Amino acid sequence: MTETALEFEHVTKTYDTSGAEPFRALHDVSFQIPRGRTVAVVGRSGSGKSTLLHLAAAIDLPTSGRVVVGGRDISSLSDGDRSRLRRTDVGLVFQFFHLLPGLSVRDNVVLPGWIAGRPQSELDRRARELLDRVGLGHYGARPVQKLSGGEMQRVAICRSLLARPKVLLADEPTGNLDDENARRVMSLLLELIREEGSTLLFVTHSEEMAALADEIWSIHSGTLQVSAPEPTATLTASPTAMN
Amino acid sequence: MIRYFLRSLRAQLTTGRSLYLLSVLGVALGVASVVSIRILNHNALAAFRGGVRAVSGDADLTVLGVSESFADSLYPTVLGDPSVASAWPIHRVGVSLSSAPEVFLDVIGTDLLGVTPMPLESAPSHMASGSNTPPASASEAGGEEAGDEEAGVGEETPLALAVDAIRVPGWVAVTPRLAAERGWALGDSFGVTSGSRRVTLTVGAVVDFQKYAPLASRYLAVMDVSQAQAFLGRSGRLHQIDVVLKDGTDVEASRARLARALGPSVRVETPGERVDDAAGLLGAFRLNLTALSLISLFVGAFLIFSSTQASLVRRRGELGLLRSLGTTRAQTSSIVLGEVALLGAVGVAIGLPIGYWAAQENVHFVSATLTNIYLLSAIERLEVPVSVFVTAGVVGIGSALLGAILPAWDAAKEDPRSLLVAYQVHESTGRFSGTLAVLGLGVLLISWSAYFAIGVFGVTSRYSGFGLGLALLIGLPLLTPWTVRTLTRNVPARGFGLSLSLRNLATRLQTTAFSVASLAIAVSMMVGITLLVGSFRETLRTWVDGSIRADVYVTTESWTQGGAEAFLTDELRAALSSHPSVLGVESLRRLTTRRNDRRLPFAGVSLGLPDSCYAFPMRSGNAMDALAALRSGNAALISEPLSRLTGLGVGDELEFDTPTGTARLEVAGVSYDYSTEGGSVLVSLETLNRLFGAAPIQNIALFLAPEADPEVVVSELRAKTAGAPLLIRSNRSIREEVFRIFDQTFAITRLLQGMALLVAACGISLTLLVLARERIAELALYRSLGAVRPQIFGLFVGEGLSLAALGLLLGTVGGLVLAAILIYVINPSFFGWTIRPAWSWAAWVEQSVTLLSTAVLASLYPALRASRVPAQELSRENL
Repeated sequence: MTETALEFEHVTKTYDTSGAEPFRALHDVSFQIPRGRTVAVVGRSGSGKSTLLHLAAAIDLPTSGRVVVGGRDISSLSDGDRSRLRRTDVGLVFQFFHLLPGLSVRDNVVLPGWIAGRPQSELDRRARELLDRVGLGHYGARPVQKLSGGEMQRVAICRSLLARPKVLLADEPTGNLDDENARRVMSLLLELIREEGSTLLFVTHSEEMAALADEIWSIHSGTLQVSAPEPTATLTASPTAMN
Repeated sequence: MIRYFLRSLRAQLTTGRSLYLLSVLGVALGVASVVSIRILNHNALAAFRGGVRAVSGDADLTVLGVSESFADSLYPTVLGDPSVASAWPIHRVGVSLSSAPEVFLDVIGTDLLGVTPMPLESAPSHMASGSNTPPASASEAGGEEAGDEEAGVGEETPLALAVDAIRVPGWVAVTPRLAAERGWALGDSFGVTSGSRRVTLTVGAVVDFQKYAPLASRYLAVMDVSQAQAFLGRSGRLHQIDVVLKDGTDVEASRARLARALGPSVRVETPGERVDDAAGLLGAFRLNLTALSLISLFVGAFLIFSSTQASLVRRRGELGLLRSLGTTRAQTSSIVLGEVALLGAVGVAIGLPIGYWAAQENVHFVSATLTNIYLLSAIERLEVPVSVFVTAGVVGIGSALLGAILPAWDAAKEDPRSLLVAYQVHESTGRFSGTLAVLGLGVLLISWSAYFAIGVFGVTSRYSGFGLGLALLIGLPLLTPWTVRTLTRNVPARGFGLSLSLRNLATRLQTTAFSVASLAIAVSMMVGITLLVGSFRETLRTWVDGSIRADVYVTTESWTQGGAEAFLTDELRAALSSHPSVLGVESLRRLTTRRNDRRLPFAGVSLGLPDSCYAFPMRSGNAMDALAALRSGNAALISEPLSRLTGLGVGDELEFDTPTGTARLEVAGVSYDYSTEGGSVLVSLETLNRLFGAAPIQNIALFLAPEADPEVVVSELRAKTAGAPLLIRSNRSIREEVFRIFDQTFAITRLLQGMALLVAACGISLTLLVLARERIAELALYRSLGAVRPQIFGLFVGEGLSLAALGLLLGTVGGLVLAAILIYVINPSFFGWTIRPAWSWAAWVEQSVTLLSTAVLASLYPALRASRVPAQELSRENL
């Protein structure tokens, strides 16, 4: 039987608004993503994409329903346990990279390992392996401010994969890149996901990027429409080519 | 624009409560520091002024002895001057209460039948129903409850009271507050001691000086001049004659004529000159306290800078919008500065009561210094002059505006477009840190070069030390960004702990550098003053070891306030000297004369013991040569401060006033002496008696047989002289007394150090709050990467500790420089003492632990705030 990496079961999320009706960001969302699948979520601004990612990352809790990450119901976990879950089972990639400007490329990659308290030697080895994989092996000591946008996102991808997470969540991972870089970064991300055996759930505005996923779901006013289309594109860029 | 300002202000105060609260607290503490010292400084002088006003009333001139007292035969000469409308003689003696020897009564003996201004009253309501004890007679060494004459109980006219004052032996008028404090009623008797004499006085009236001199001491008392001379002082001697001139008299001409007529044993001064004299005496003490208090204010200005900077970073978009809607640069600046001025005003409002409270809490330390070191009046009540409010307003709002000018100008000069773009503030500071460091080094180098260059050309100013101190206060903060950056940016980050905390400081240099700078200033002050005080203490210890050589010292209970009248009788001297363990006796007589408006304390020592008993700690000259010269009767040993003040050295001639005119003695040597900053002169007792006329001695020192136990001998001497008001102390206990007074004198510096530390702690909290606000996205990133709240909490506490550690490092270096300025430049200029530097690791470790602990405490709240940032706060903005 295929292992389920991420599962939503009748998940609803509402936010209190001062005086007015509560705002319903997600409504009765249910899905299962098996390990190794890639899913793209498309939708307009304010449709509930970010809320979906926050719940999937155990950053937020559902108002009702169950969110199961790596086999654990996040509602049953304490704030600390949810943080520890993110260290081991969840990787995050952001549109604006969110790299720390005071740290080098290598230090940014190993940051989750520092938080988890893993040995430095192990982290250094893993960071070198990942940076080599994305073609930035010789940039380890460089300050991140000196990288291009595409390079920054590749560093962020390395960071997200450091702990070999079961689920990788990406919020507009190519939204801040030009078309050429966007394609290259997305291709690399999908390639790495498959190599690492992770599951990818990413949010995008771009139909071209969404088309690279195994499945494309759409979200509208908090309601998710799950479908299983055929993949329409294949990986075309390699890390070597990107250099 | 005003409407916008008010609404924006409300919004700012609501959203940035902690930030503004800390800024206000920083200003408040700085203001409190300045206010407390201003109040204490003002009252130190006001107490003296109150005493002058109480005793001399509206006198135009005062005749004073060149060496404390003068012959009362001069009184008729004063009255005979054609310009004198009235004059009253005063015999003034400081006596100790027998029941509480530490309480001194300043007894003013005057002619109560004459025109004296003493406001005598017979029986105020609270005393009228008092004791019916019959009035006591004054009697030397008599019982305290003696006496059988009728007292002035009941309503009496001033004339009747004056008659009683002459008729009733021991009649004295006391202040209502003292009577209430001691529970005395009219007719009650109490014992006092003057020198080695015990006298019983009887409360015959009250005299409320505070009606017209509110700051006058409650320990003033009035009695008839003849009684004061006979029972408490010396017959035929006066200390003062107050003179009221006829209307339209030329004061200067009268003064000159009186001075000529009265001769060299007196000087004629105006009340204003007497206050100026006291002000001059306290000048260095007051100035140094003021300078130290300003440091806290300086640190407070850094806080305002940081908070304004943080507020402007947060409101950059808002200001950009305002500019794009047509607001001018001037209007933008006005909004920012207006807000800061209001914060400053709130800080002033809070700082004033804190300052008053701090002054009240520390008044006894300053008061003890005034009485122990400067022999002036104690401060009994604190008066807050209007100028304190003005100063508080100016320094509080001024420092706040000063702290905000740079950030406000920075924001105003930007164009609307760049204001609307996210601000990478840390990068600009990092870029300029090198330039700022060069500037800082330049300030330090220029100031020190100028100091030495001026010295080479022989032009010296006693204020040059303050110039060096100011350069340090400017140079140190300028060097801070570069130092922080250099020390932290290359720290290898190894995990989510202290190393990452250190690295983060370099990333947010614009915010962190100011906190480190303000801490460095506070630590500089702490380390510098501690080093000064510690070095001074060690130097004093060495001096005391060398100069306090006798085994037992004897003086009277009233010696500190009694002056020349607190003398020891020959009988007591003989009784003490006859103890079988006593091998040698040294007698000491003290008096104060003057030269060129400068007080000149003289000590006459008998010098009759073998040479080995004398070990003058010499700064220049040979001790044995000096001893021989002193014994010859034509030489004096002067103290180091006097040598610095007058420029006199070995072989020079010391000139001074005596009752018979100007006298001269050759300077036989310059000795280290830490008893008075005004300088002192040591001569043989024989020389002193020859120059100033014979008078009794006030102290004796006993040298015991080697096998004698000083503590046992002290007990035996006390038993032998039981009943006599003597202070008989062993060498050990007198040393303890010296250090007790020393510690009391410097206690006020602890208040200032504490204030500076508190302001710096506010700076840490403020910085971390600003960082927590600036780094919401970064903190949310940590959380989204799996960091738990205690980890974020620990990271922030680590950053607080790192700030403190860097402040400690820079501050220790700054403190060493400040100590060097205090010890080698300011101290010689203002006090004239040689202080040998002595570093105390124990004190430094204690202060470091205090600072780091304070930093941890100051970090707790911001760390808690930071740890509560949820991962959802990870916005789509750049980090």
